[in-house]
Amino acid sequence: MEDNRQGERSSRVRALSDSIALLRRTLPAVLPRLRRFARTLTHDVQDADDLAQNAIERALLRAAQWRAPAADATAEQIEAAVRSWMFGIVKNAWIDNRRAHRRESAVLGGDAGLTEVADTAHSRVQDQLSIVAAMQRLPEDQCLAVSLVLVEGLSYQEAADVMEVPIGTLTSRLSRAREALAMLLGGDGAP
Amino acid sequence: MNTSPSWDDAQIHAYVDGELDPGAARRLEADSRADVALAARIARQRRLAAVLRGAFDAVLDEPVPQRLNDALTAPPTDTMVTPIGAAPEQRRARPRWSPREWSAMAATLVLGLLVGALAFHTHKLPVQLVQGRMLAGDALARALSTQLSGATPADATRVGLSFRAADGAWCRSFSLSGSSGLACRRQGRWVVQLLEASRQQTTVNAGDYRQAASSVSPAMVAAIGALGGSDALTAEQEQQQLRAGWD
Repeated sequence: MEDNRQGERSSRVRALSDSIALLRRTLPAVLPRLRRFARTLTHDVQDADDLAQNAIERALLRAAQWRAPAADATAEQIEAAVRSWMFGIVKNAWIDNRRAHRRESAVLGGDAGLTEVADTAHSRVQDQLSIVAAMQRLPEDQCLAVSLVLVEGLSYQEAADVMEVPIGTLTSRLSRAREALAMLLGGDGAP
Repeated sequence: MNTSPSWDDAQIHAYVDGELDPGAARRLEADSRADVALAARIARQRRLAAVLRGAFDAVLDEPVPQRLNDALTAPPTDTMVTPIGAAPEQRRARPRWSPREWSAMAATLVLGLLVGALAFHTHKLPVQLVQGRMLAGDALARALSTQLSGATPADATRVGLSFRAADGAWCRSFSLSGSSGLACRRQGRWVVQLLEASRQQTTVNAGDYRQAASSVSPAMVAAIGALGGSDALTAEQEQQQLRAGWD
């Protein structure tokens, strides 16, 4: 009985170190897309790479929480699993970071809201906004939906999993984001 | 079931995103052939997705910064999580954006902007999207693979100059009616790095592009700079690559 428990524990330890090794092996292949995802959320190159770095560090710290795919998974399936997990970590890191910034600017007495309004008013003067600027004006949830589905090409199910929302919520956010982007880009003329 | 179903936006979005069930997708395709307005709604959604991917795709070709690779191999400790943008002195320690990165970013922005402008104003693009990357369309790819710089064939696709990027990829500038740009050969495909609406009928002659820079758009100069381009290939070197297939 005791032996059995001992065996279980050591196999669990082995499984964990295997899954961390698998994670480390797979991450390099996922990095370019992780950077692209971060860039769609945070348009400053340094900030986006900070976000990616933060996500890698969080991922390695929490590797124990990662559920490695079954032993017979293909390389592609493993990569997809790592990608989804990493996207979720990037999303959380990004949201945490934005909250911290909002708190910080509230403490410092800055009014982010005012700046945003002024920006939007200014943008209306321009005929067409760059897609990068338009993305920045989307609410967090909509920006995430656009990044995951339209840029990263995730399925609705995968994107909903990353965002931790039901599919219906994802599709309605995506729909609102599309309307907003079309308006901001000035490309929504009648057919 | 309606005999002439009117399609709502959610269905069109699902179709464009590849999430509509195959039966409904076939009906939507059939309906769109007879319904110009419906076809336009679909096209608009496709263009939006193309513009988005065009704006962010270039990130995939950027070299991954060393600090990210370092983070991958670092032993995990509880104290290493870097706060984003929170420690200015920590950031200063890292190299700030080099001119190369600036120009790469500028090129990306311009790409997004110009693809946007092109996509919303023309129906035909010389490019195609494959798995989220912007690749040269068939005709453009043929021209890039087979044409000598400076030649003007009947279909008016001109190849301006050829050079080798710092990462070893062969790159060629091109111009065709309404647009011009830059494509690099990667994994057997011509990946479009820059696409912009032509301002006028400018021709980029083979030769030193630095000297020719005045006739080339700033975006093109920035894009070539970002790629760390070699000197332009001579006609002889080009001939050799035409034979070798640019791979």
